[in-house]
Amino acid sequence: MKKLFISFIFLFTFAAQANSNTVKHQDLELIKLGCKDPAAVGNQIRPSKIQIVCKDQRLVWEQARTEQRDIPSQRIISTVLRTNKTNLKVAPKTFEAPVSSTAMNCPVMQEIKLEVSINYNVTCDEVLDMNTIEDFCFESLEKDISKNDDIMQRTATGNVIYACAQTRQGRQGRQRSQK
Amino acid sequence: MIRSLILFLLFWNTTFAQELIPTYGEFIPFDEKDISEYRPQIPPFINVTSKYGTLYVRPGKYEYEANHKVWSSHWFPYYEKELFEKDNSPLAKYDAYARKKGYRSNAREFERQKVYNERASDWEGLCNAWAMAAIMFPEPKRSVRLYNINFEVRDLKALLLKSLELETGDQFFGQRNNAEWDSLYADIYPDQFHRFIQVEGFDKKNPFVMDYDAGYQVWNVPVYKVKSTIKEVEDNSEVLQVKTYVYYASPFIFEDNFVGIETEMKIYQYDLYGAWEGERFRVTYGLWKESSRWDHPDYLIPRPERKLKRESRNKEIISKIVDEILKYSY
Repeated sequence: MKKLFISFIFLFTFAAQANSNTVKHQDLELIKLGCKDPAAVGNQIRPSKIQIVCKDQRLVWEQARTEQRDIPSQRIISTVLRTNKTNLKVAPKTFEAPVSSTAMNCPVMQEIKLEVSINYNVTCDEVLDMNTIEDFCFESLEKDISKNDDIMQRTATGNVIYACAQTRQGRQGRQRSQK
Repeated sequence: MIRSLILFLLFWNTTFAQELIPTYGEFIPFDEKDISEYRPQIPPFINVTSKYGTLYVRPGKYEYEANHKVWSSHWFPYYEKELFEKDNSPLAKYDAYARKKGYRSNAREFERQKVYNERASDWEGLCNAWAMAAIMFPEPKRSVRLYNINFEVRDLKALLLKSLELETGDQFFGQRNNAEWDSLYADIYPDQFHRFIQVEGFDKKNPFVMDYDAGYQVWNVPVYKVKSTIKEVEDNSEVLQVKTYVYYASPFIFEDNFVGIETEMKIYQYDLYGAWEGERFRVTYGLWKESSRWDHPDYLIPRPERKLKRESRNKEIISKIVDEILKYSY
């Protein structure tokens, strides 16, 4: 299972303003308008300090280790006691005899959260060229992470899958149904 | 002769003057080839190598994570009234507690009348105090109830930051860009930046404070992790290409009582110029590359090797009382 989640935060300031507009979710079209025509949004100059924070969160499974498991084999010996003059009608008797089991390497998978938030400073010209912020973030993250994927922070979530657990359970289940 | 002189001056003006035009603290495009000639080799532009020595590098990958855990906090802009406006504001709670302890505290009114400034620039606030607190103090993690007064995590962080408001650290590395005639946008230069992270980061494993805005605004953040890759350039033995990833706690949090770290990262690209001395490359100067030409740190502050100065612009705040409240939160 792999989840990819990209989010973004858009921050900017109009340098001519001294108000509280700095830290809010902003709309790309508003910034574009300010870049194209500052007067349209009540300013004398184009917005500056435009920052886009692109966050990439992924949940991936990785092999943590392998554990050696024994797949139990089975050996059953049956005995029936007969004679041609006496009908004993004795049901077969069975008992388990020792037998060597099969060793198997079982992968243990752990869930890892990979995360990075990159802060990009962009210019008005770059904003005007943008289609959507999602596109910008996806392309920027692809570019920066594909070159160097160890920039993502790794955290184990604690979720673990023992790949062999089901196999053994299945075998036991089958044994029970035979009885 | 005079005509030639005028023509020369016109040529000089259009070709080189861009570098000499005051930038008023903000980035203007320039010809990268010219910049090394104008690189000032005087303090504060060479403060890092003056203190820590010449920068030598080797190609490879380098990484460190600080031995102190930094944390995120709201940065409490000066134009906001949050610190004092409501009856359950941090300073109202502080006053209530201090009065219970027998002090005639009036921090709330002091803040309203003498510190708060509705016309403050939209970037001014307590980011300097927060960044310094985050590299020096443990994070206040739990709410505290004293004398029936409930201090939430956000209140506790606000009080800690207010008690450190005037702390600026021991030394700035790089010139603080104040949008003056002599403010150089390219500073802090990449060779100085790299030498700083070599010593404070890779060697000492210290967190540090970085103003990530190269212009006149100040956005101090606590840095706790750096990764750097240095590569050789084919057919040019006089330059190395560097890409450095700087991880810091962000002051932009969206939960009031957020605990922990909201991480952000900046990518800086630069070239280091110099010459090989055996297996080491001796760096003489560096140039920011690509988007790092306008998006690079302004200055860096190392972790002080002393207790922080507990002084506030709000003279009613007593750090001893703040610490009494905070000690239950760690």
